[in-house]
Amino acid sequence: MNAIRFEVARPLGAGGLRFATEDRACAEEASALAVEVIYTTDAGTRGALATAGALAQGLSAHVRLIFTYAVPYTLPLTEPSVSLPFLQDKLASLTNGISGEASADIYLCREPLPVLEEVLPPSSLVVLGGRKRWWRTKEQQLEKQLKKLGHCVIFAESR
Amino acid sequence: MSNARILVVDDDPQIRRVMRMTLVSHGYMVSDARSGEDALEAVRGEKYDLVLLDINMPGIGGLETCRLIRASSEMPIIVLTVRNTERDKVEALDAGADDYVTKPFGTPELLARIRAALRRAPQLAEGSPEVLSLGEIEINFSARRIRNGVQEIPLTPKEVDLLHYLAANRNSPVPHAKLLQTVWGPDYGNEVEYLRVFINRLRSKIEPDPSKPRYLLTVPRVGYQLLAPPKS
Repeated sequence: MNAIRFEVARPLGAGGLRFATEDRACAEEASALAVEVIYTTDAGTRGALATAGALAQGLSAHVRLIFTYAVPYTLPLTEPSVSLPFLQDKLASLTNGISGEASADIYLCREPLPVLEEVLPPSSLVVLGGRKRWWRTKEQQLEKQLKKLGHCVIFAESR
Repeated sequence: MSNARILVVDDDPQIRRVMRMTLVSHGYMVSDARSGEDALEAVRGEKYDLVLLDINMPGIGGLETCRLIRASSEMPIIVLTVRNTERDKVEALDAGADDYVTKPFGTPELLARIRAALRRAPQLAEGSPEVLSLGEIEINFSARRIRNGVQEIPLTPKEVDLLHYLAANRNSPVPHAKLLQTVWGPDYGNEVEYLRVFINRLRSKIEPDPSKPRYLLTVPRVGYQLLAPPKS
């Protein structure tokens, strides 16, 4: 996989953001099942995280937000045009609203779909947020692609 | 049902606090709301077994709250009020209240009325056994566990509610909307994907081969059905 992974972990009840692989390990150990949320737009992701949070609570699972950032070919993969602390802050603020365990992964890549193919375990439970239109939106296309890969995808429609 | 969930709705924090203490000390799980609006939101988000509702409240008031709760739920509502004229009682009962208690009231009387209302209430899973055997698998609803030989698998509260309801209606198909409204609440009904996720999860726990379910069956375009020994 030609991508770089950064982690943001937010343990239950903590408001802050920190790099904490050991917290992530604890969260994943405590609840083996993960509800995966793939970042689409801010509003869509907020809706998706709310749906994922409710699902995770009922399933004793944890929520994992996956953010894939496509770095243009003109830049090295390690030097995206957006600063990483900014992205981390953004993801931390998005996951702060969830009740329960939540973590976030940032993947710097050239093409998001191959990364998703690789990082999502088989038959994952994925929640996508976005708006539904009569034409197929980017989020709806992603939903179709993920379903094709065998994942169980829930589309959380945002208004 | 000593572990019933009760929602106390009163604008007076003192009364809410006293009610909470009293009810919790008798084994009930208590949440409170300080207005009708808050109560409606609480009822939408959570499942309660009974509502204790004050009539004189700012905002939409107790009677309207009672009407709105009743429009979407069959849970018992006991109205608490200082008004004791016949007209007030008729209004409250017509709005959907199941019982009417006039303030001041004694704790034993209130507790007896709660017990009576809970007895009459349609249970989430009436007729459902505490332990259900499916072949070699034993589901213990009160312990929230599945025993498969020596292996014990825990169930989440939502999984228990879902399985409990299916067990209460075993051997007959339960529609998606009915399952969603009973287990998730009155605002749900179209979220079939939720059911799919939870049923898959349950299948992985109770089915010997989850890809070929023997007990938890999909009834196409209808819902789900639990195949189990008939009720004795």
